[in-house]
Amino acid sequence: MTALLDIAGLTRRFGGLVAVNGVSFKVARGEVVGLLGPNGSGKTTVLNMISGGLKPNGGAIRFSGETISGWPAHRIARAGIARTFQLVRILPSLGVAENIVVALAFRREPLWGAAADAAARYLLVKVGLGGRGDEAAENLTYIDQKRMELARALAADPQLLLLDEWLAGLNPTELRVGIDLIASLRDSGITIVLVEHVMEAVRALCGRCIVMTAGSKIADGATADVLRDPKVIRAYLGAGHA
Amino acid sequence: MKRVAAAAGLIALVAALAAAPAFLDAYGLGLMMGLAGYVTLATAWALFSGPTGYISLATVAFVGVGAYCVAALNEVLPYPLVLLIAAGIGLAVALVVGLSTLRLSGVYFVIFTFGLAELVRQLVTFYEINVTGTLGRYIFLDITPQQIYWQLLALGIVTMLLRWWIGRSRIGLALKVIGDDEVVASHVGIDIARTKLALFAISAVIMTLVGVIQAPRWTYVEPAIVFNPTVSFLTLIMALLGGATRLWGPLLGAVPLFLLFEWLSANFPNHYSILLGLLFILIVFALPKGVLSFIEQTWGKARDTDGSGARS
Repeated sequence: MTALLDIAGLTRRFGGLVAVNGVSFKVARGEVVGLLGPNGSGKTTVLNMISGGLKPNGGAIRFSGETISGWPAHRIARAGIARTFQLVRILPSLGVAENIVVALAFRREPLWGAAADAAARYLLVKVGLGGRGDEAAENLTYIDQKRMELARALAADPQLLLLDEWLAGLNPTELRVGIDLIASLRDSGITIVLVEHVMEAVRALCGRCIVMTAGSKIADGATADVLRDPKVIRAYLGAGHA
Repeated sequence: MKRVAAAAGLIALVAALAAAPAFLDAYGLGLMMGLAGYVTLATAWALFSGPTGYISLATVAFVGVGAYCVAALNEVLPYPLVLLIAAGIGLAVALVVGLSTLRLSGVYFVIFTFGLAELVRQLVTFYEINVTGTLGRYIFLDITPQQIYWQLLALGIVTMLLRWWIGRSRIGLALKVIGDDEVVASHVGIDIARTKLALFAISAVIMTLVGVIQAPRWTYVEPAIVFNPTVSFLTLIMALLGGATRLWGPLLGAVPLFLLFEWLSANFPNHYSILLGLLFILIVFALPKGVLSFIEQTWGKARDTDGSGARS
């Protein structure tokens, strides 16, 4: 079986800093892969290059058989990759349902009008915001804005979903709900790559993990094995703990 | 029922405006022409700048191009053809400018568009002096003031309808998203460059047509007259006063301000620019989101304090 996402030698420099240095990995269809690493290790930069927010300086990204590296973000989005952002990005001048309609209206098979409105409200129910479509997006609490952002990503009907610390900043109860929500997405067959620091979530959701440090991949394998790997422990906790 | 009444009211208003020349003297008709011109310009300006938040000072570049097309072509081509050619040239300029500048954001875009108007003026001046040898041109067209007014009125109505239609369409939503957050826009599949370019071009073509239609009023044109940057500033401040994100905003801003400017220039010809500048500052400080938003907010607050408007 060919990989849905195939990244080879991906490199990105910011001036003299090599933020991502020759990273390669594959993600199979239906997999949930965790992308881990200490702060500043280049995880978000990798996501940004996959989604088209940043152009790679080197290497290639193939998505369901097509080389998408270098494509503009809107073309990648239409090819079937959706994402959430590390710092939640809402559209403040629009209502909650409209925030979802935006993604429905510009995806590969667009919905518009009454159909889009109905689909948006259905997705809001799915993420736990049922009946709140008419509120102003900027009045939502942080967790609800995150839910809305997830619904917007789902509205694109993606083959690949990129979640950038979607669970960060949630309290224990919200975290439980959030993990269940992502698990339900996994069960529906969406392929997910998630950047996450919440280990509880990583253990519960990810069958496989990739660990980066200082721009390079240092581990790639089954979650339990990776988290026991001395190299990974050293990267997170320092040499004394390995 | 309510929509039928609103539609009937609008049709009656349009009919009244169309019949207005029969009841006006020459000064009144001139005033109405100016009003129709500025309402159209402000609405066309808001078509692009309202939702995207890109402040353009290129208005007069397009108006001037339109007027110069008439000046250059009115003796060799029939009027309808001049209209078409001018619209085509306006479109071409808008596409070139759009492709090269819409990547700029914020203040850089403002400065570039201001510079553009100046550049076009200098280019026309250069061409006239070095190639044709005369700076000014005369426009003798067999068009009555009534006909100019009706053309402007029709263009204004088309612009309003276009803006209403775009506001309800997918492209209107795309513009709002771009105005809110370009990163989100591109990540939900919106082609930002193409959307902005399309709207900038439509807005520019309308502005060019305003220049074409108004040109016969001037009789004599030269670059300093038709590329006067005050036109860009007036258009901008009218749209902002009314509220550039609202359908009726530019109209509600243009009408009182145009009348005020007329009065100021008639009564304080020497201090006109100073008063204009003060007014700009006042509007930007006091009503940054426009009159319509201000009314809605104060109305909303009044309702909230007596409890009936509170939701939670």
